[in-house]
Amino acid sequence: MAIWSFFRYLYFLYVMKVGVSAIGISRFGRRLDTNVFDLVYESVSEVFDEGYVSPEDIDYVVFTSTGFAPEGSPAGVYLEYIGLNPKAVHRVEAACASGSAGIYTAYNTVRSGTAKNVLVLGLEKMYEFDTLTAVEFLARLGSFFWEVRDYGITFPGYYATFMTRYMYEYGATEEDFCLVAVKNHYYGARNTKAQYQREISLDDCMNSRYIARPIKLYDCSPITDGSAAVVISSEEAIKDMGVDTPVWIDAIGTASMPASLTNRDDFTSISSARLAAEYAYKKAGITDPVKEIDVATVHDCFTVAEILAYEDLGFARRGEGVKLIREGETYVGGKIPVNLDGGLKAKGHPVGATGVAMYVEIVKQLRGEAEKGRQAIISKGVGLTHNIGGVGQYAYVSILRR
Amino acid sequence: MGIIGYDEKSGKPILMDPREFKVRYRSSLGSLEKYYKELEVGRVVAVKCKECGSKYFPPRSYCPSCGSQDLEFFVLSSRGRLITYTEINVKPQTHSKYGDYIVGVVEVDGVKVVGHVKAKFKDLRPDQNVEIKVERREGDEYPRIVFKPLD
Repeated sequence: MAIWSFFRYLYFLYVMKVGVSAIGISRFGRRLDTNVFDLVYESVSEVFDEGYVSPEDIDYVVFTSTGFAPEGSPAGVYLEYIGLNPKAVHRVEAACASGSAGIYTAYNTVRSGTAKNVLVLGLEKMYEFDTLTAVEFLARLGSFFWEVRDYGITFPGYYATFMTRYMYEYGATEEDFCLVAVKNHYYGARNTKAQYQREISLDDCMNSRYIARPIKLYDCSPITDGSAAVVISSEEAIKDMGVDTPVWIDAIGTASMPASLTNRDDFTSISSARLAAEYAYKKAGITDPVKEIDVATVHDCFTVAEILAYEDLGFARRGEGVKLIREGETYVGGKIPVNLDGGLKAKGHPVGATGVAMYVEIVKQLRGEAEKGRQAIISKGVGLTHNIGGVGQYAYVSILRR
Repeated sequence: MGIIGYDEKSGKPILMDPREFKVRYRSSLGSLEKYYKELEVGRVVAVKCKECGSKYFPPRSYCPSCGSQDLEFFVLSSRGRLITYTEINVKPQTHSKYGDYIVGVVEVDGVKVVGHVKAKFKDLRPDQNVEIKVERREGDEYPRIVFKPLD
């Protein structure tokens, strides 16, 4: 018996594959047309409408959100509405990486053999209060006691400290960062679920007002209402349910770093993202990411964050991330297409749902289901998600394979 | 007025809560009392581990490097190096009564400190030297760390 258990353990840990069996996503935006319950249902209904996974197949639900819901404990309330009682549910929180943290929880639960199918459901409805209160809530995802309370730093402010130092050390300009906004709006205009389905010019970005100087309005992802859902399943369950378009999770790398500015050594890179990528690449057997990955979604909460991601993920050397965007290498047809859904910048950033929405996007890309004009060429069958919470206090990098 | 309000931009129906949820945190200080007492009299203090010599800001009661609980406060020098900064133009609710302010990170005596930079944004550059002081903002009793450019 004991020997059998041991082999079973080895099977789950090293042999069995874990994959994404179904996806769903709501329209992102200022969704005053819907109540929060129906916003949750919008993504969940897509999951079941795909026809592979039915509600009875779900063993357990992981809910991901930060602090915007009026309920102190939203998971139980929203599960009730989507009709999945008595399935077990709880919330997972890791600031803007909550979605990836929830997927990581689901992935490990499936890998352990405890569950076959786990629904991960991300939600944020950020327009339920005024902008200044939203800015306050987001700021408090940082180091509240020492930095937010007395010095009033905001989330754009946290990233702006990186932009200031990066520009100083590498000679990058505000224009360079605006090129990221132009690219992401270009693809947002082609994504029917995006908050901003319109292109912008470099001048639109350069002429926008400062939010946390040198970060301007068009360098920022917006306040967004949205939900996203994925089902994480065992290889066995995927076969049993007859899923003909599974996307496998090759690896999830995750790491942390101090939340406080005072305990950081480096203002031109997110060390936790580098560690998460290093782990994920090693486990997935990737040695040259630009050559081995077809498409990536990265955490562009601010344009500078996308540039840092290029470098932290090894798409460019330190200080050379701006070259990739200047040369258009992160568009379709470039060396490594990034954020073809419009990114957080144009698709929108409902913070607790973002990590889940990134998985939805990469699964769509690998299945070849993205809208015309924003579908990457899939030749290797490999995609990547990079999701950061805070300014790196939570970092997740996933490698997905068709 | 009915209970349903309509959004000005979109005309969509909104249920407005007639009650407001107010929060004011009361943070127990414990071992951090000394830090705020020193700040009140105009000094910024950090801590140093008596066992291994590691220095920390903000102050803390044990050393994560060696595990020692024997740390002592020391007063930081009044001169440091500005590593990076940002001007906060859109402020959080709790700071919305202030005009734009600059938040900076300054390296001093082997630690880094966050404070407000008193200067015009355009006159600043990373790595410049600053004076470190404690000041109260106009109309505000609360002492805060401020940095003034020296060059």
